[in-house]
Amino acid sequence: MNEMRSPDTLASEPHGATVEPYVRVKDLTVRFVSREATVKAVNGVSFDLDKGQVLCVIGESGSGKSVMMRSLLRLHPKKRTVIEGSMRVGADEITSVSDKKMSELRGSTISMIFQEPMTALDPLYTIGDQIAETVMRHEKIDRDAAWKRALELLELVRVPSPERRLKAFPHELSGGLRQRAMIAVALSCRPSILLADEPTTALDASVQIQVLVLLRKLQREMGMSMIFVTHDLGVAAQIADKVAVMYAGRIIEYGEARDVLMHPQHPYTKAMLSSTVKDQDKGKPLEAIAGTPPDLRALPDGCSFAPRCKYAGPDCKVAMPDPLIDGRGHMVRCSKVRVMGGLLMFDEGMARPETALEPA
Amino acid sequence: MWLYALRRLLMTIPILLGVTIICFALVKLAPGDPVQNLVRPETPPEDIAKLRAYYGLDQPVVIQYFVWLWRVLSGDLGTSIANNAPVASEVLRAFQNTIVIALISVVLAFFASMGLGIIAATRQGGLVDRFVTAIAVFGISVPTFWLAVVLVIVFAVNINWLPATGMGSGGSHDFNYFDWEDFKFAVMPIIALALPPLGIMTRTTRSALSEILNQDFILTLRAKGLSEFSIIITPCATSCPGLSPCWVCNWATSSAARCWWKRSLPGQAPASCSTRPSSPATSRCCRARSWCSPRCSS
Repeated sequence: MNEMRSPDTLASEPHGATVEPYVRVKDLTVRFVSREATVKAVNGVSFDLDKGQVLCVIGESGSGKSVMMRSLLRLHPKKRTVIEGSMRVGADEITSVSDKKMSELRGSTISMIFQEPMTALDPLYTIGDQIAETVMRHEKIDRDAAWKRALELLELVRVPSPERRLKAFPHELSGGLRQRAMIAVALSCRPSILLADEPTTALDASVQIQVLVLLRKLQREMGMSMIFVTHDLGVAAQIADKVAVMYAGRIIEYGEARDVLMHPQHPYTKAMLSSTVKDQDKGKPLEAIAGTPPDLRALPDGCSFAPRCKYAGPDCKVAMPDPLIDGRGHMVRCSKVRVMGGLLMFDEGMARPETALEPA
Repeated sequence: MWLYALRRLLMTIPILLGVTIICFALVKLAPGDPVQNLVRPETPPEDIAKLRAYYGLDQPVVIQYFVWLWRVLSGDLGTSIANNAPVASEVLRAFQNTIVIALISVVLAFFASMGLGIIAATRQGGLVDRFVTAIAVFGISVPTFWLAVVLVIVFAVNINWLPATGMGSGGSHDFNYFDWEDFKFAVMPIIALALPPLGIMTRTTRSALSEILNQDFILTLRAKGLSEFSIIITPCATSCPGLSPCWVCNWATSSAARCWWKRSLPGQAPASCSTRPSSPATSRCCRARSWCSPRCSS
């Protein structure tokens, strides 16, 4: 089995009293350049993640969640993508490691689960082949040993009658089983960080919970860090330690799951929470967020949520507000939030005195 | 799976029967009487009738067909009326000439198109891709006979690098690929023959591979840490058999261009038989060929 990189090696680095987080992403920007337009998919994302923690990234479709995740594995086409900023995982700086090193990291240190179990597995190879392939690639063991490992992994992800399933092709399995197989592929080399890109979205509700519980359990058992992308707030509440809310390629709110989900400060987070069915009175129409996410080819100046924000004032359209962090590490980027008594506080009336507040 | 293959194989029997009936009927319907062609106009009708009886042409057409079919099935293709030689050996002689260039051009086209297709598919939209696509479109759209003539004009007439016609001193029997004196005769035919299937197969490889490379699971393979090389080669290797229809195409084309290769050898069967319908068997053979390529008979 792969020796997992222990956090001690990081702690022993000369960083004084503060322990370096296992993952540190700083000012990450990702742009897709084509002849017609430049798409600014991620615009300055920073976050830290400790060993064994789960970060949930939530946001609408097109908010840059998946792009950010794929950048962590450098999966974007090289030619058309410009990645700036820094992504450090363990001791490796993702933005600057060689291609060879990168392909060694993929699947062994960092691995990824994709959204669609239907299409993410190669239809021409058996499940066993696909798991064993990864193991053989990274651990230089022979085929028999790799298949034995594949069997263990299928048992680990609770696939019933694993011997039979090893020889099955992806189309012979149900969606839930396929996603379990996908998880087995991702976990095959004991990664220290698992990127899960909406792993439960394509599954039906009862299977969603099973897969989620399984992932959380395996993550705890193996002490992995996990970045979990979802747009399901219920999922986020269940498994996250930290929650990051993304909008138009920026993290607009970040903090402990409890803080962000129970005391959301950003109007976008609030609106998103109030648009869910949970804890809503029956008969009351759900509040949807009006409008659509901004065009990432031409982002507006100022707060990117301002055009859809019912609290937005004229000053919101000037510049993107800087991050505001309280004592608990809760971060918000909104000009109408201030720190009060060590906590963030949304203040609708907070605006420059001369600007009259006009709810849109 | 095996049952399916067997069923498809059995299906070919009625198809082959149908083909033989149509071919036989077409030869019968074609104007011109082989015996009339064989004899002088002043030959007495009794002699013509004797010849007719000798060749079995006095029998009803249906009987003729079954007699012929039975002989073909037992391996006897009959004797050419024109030169009294067995048809089978005549065809074989022509076939040997064909195989010298066809085989090598098939192999060349297959591997070159594989390489070009992979290069184009992995650099989609780039300059290299456009260049390869241009070659492929050229190969598909340019007629072999025209290309062959242009090659002759350029390489044989203008710069005089390669011989314009012929097949070397030894013919197909003693043809030696590794001897430049022989091989130089085959260079231009091979290029002319290889280009059309090369174009088709390059396009096929490119589109098939780029379709695969755009699928979601390719991202999974990358995320697993597999190298770009193995990601690209695996689907190529597994979908190779899918290209086999193109091989068949190539064989069809090769039968066309071999006329050019053969033209320099005077007195050989295909060249002579294309001018007059001689025996039922040979005329059928050249008619079939002239369907493949109208330019053959001109």
